Amino acid sequence: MAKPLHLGFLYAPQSGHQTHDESFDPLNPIHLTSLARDLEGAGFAFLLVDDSVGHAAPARSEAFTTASFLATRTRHIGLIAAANTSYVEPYNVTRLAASLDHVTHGRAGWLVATGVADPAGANYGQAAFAPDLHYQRAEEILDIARRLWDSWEDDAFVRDKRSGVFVDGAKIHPIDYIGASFTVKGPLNVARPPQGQVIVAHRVVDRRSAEFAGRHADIAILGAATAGDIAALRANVIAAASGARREEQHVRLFAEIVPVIGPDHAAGAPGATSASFLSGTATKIVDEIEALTNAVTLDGLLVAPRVLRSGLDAFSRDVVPELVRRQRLLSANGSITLRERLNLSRPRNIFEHKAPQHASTAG
Amino acid sequence: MSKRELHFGLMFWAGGTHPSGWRYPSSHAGAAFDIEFLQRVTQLVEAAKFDFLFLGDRLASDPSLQTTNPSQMSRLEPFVSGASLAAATSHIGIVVTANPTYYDPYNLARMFASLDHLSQGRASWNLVTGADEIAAGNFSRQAHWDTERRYDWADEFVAVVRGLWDSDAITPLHHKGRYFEVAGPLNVKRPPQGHPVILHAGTSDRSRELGARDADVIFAGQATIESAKAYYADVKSRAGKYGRADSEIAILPGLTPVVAETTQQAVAIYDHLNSFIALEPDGDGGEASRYGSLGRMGKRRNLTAVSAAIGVDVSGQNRDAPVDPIVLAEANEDGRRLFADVTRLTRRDVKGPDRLTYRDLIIGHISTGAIVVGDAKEVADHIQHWFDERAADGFNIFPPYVPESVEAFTGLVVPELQRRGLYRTDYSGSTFRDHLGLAKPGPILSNATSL
Repeated sequence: MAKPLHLGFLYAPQSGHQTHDESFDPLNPIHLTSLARDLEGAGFAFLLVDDSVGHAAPARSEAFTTASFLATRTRHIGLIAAANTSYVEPYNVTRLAASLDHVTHGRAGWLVATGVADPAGANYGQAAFAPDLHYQRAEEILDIARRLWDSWEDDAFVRDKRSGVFVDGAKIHPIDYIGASFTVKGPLNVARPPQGQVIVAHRVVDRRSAEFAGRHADIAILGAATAGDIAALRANVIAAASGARREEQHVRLFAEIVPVIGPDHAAGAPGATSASFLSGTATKIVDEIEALTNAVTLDGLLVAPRVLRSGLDAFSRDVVPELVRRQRLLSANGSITLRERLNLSRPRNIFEHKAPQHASTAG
Repeated sequence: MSKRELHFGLMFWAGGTHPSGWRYPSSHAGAAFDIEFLQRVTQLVEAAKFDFLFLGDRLASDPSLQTTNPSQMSRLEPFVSGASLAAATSHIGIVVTANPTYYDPYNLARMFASLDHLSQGRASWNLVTGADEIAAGNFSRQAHWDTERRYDWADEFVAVVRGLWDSDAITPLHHKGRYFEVAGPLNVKRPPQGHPVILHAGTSDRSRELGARDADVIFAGQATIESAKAYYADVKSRAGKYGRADSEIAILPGLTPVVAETTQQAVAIYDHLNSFIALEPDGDGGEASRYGSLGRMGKRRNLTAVSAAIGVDVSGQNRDAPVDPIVLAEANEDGRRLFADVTRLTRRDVKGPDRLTYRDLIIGHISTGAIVVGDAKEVADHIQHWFDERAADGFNIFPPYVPESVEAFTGLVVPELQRRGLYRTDYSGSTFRDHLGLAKPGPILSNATSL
């Protein structure tokens, strides 16, 4: 019996297989606000603000700026922003993600994209380079980000007005990172994120991305057309996770679905293989979701309607109530942070045990 | 030509710009990461019709900053806080500090274009080239670039960013320069302001040149009206070389106002703030740590440093004792200026009923930038004087402690300036360019389409 699911929403106007209605303007803050609030109201666990630095067509605003704007306009929904590790400085992207976590009070995530999926060297004075190098860079940046997020311990701030002690310097750590591509001294100039570590998401479409997700991601988004292919990607992620000595239950597995709601007719996937196309009436779509999640153990679905906003509106109006009726939708259940909502524990700070040990008097 | 009017920005270091501002009783010591608090303060200055909110930045941190610049140790990334502030406001300009030395033009052009769309025309770039040497260590750099290199890079960087803002499918950028190769086009539509407002600060020759050519607002740090007038005249005349009118650049020096209902109350607040500053023992009069030297209090906080500055040995004196008038009589020119400044701020003198102390001299010596202490009329007089004398087109207001100093300025000084007809009582438009009276620039590329 499949378990109840989290729903995530993919916001990616004019890239991949998503377009938008004429009445929806991705650069209009009022339209964006209404989209995010409606998702929140429909019970979505997160909104994934996708991004591209390689697509030439003007489509939307940059993901972290957009998510930061929406942070103030929403209260409960997770906000995951995409950034491409092939074209950023690690210090900059790390503090963007940490800061988004602060302004959302722990609802932030970072979709780690690379130049493999979104090549953009021509905008950055870079020649194209091999997929392995893109991923090597991503590995380094993740490693740096995780250390920088921990570079301030949770209780580094003393802020004692009477004594004038603002911080405890022993709880602020340089990271002294030296790698193949980057050298970063640290510490970060942002307090530790409310979630400790910001939620990291990655799209899994092949073995390499599965490897990366298994090692690093809290959310792995499995993108394939059939249940069999989704199951294969899932197995690769789990194998990579256990290879990295991570526990399977620390990775939340989402499958990307493209719902096409309408009269019951077979509208096959238009050649795309990076998502599962489900079409027909709401009942039929929920049947297919159940079939999928009976075949593959999943924590949630990333809903990627083809058309903004009409595709979302139809999904929220018709499919969500049916999922609720069949007790297949997980609610926020009083959680505050995205980590809590996904039932992931708050990681211990890697620098904490390195602090000078206090003499123990315990017997 | 429309009447010249004052412009105000809020230099928003959330813990206050005074090194001990966070210790002031009503201050919020955890302000830097409290976005709702930052939004409330922003709404406060928006209600007072400020032109902009200024988010400063530093790309490095070190625990040693806590004694000199605690506000500068850590903060929210400014695009994140800027977008969050945009979501809670409707008119005020939002200035994000970004350093081209450690950014990429394609990313930065996208971020500013995005913020301009999300804020509906209120984004602004404070272009700094970064004197902060320790930042290099966070960005895989062997060494801190020298001024020439940083400005050469920044000059080309700004041109690329402007080109990207103007680019589209028909006219992508295809930039190939000394430092950058950028194909373009930008995949965010042209910003509502055309080009977001550009701010720049600096006193070096390269900085003045960049400001005169590229900046819409110049944020200057001159402490005296004489130096501010000279700077103002110099930058405006340089701007003429680039075909820009005087009115196209607003020069806004920093100003720290300590204001209260009465002069006496204002002086008491000023003294209270300074009472938190930990002085150092006499002996070493040299420079303080390199972190401190970047901001306030780079000088030693002792009488040895004061002695060296004023040309009279006062080291070892009891700091709470009144200063012997003979010290003023024997002081050099810098020393006489220091005494005059301390008297102007504290109303204490070497004679009369209220005597200035050796401690006052130490505080006066380490203070930087322009400070004014007084009631609403006195602070408004100071502002009007600088404005009338063309030392300033307005001010970037440094709130020494937050939020009370902001409330005092907006509640007391702003209405006084409005009564005098020097300052707007409402916004005349909704974009930052509107507040500055600047037109939306046409695209640089001749056949590019605009919104």
